[in-house]
Amino acid sequence: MSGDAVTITLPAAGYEHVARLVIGGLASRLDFGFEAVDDLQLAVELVLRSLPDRRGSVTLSLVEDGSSLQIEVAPAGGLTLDGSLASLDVAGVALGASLERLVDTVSLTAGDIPAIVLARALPVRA
Amino acid sequence: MKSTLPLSEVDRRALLRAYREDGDLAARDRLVEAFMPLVSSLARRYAGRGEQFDDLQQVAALGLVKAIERFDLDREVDLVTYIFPTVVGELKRHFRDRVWSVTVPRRLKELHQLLSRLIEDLTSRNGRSPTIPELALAAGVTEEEVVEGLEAGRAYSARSLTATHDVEDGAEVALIDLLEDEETGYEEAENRDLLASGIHALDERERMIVRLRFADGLTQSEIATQVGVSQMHVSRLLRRALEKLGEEIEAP
Repeated sequence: MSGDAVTITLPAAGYEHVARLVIGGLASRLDFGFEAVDDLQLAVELVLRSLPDRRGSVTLSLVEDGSSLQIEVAPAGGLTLDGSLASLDVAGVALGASLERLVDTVSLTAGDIPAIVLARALPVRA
Repeated sequence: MKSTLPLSEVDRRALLRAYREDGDLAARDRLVEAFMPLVSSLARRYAGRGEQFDDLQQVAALGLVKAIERFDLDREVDLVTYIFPTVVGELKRHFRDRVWSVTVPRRLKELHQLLSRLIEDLTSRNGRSPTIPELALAAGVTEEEVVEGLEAGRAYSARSLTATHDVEDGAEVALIDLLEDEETGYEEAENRDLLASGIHALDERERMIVRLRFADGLTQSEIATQVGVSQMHVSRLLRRALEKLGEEIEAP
């Protein structure tokens, strides 16, 4: 199933559940367990809610590269991994560290359109 | 139409300038007070759609504060013309984001409950989290329906601050009482702080689950076992913690 790719552009605010459905749909095709699917959805929701500017739209690109599912969210200008979300402050953990509880790797990419890329290894098939 | 607007346009602009440029909080409060009746009347229009008036009034008040924070003083338009769409926008957004649960079809709610049980059963039987196809097979529905059913139950259920809330020991107390207990010095808080920390404060259990997931790094199923709730419930509480960000008021 390598090469599966889904791209969706949606308003950065208020459409979190649409993002969840898309992620859930693709992740389930890749045999991720319920918990992993939920982690991926939560991670993207965390990113969307952390974007400094939520007035425009964002593009989610989900790509399966044979070993992991990568989810890119762009543009993510101004997003820093050191900050933390007010409601998650009780955990005392920065955004980057919070995301790493949910996915395997988190990276910010510069370039014309700054993006954040989340990746989680595909489940090992029996 | 006879104008019933509070304060004159000149006064409105002067107060707004005093607040925004000199940080005069009393000026901001006067604006908030002056526009509250208007804001309440807008909230009343949206009442009776499955939401309590008190909650809608708070949402509308939040819109008012946002309008006061964001209005561009360099623009030639009157503040009132900015308050209206901001408050109405806030109310509409509230309905779109929060009240989804009210309109979730019964079929999906039942599917959600079934899935919640199946997740527990299959996790303990297989020693790992079930996949969506496994859940679909067990529930006798398609994979798409599973994804949809999982989402359905996570839709936020709006609650009134005066509605009773089941606390850990099973006793029922009003949410507003819990908030007041947690927030000392509540009355002195500025309006914005009150909205930001009062309404959006996490309850004890949400706070604990957020801490276990993000600070201690436990998985959802580990948390479910430790806290004694279902995995689905852990998922829901984590998501609700995030949702509370949505209404956060931006700093001026």
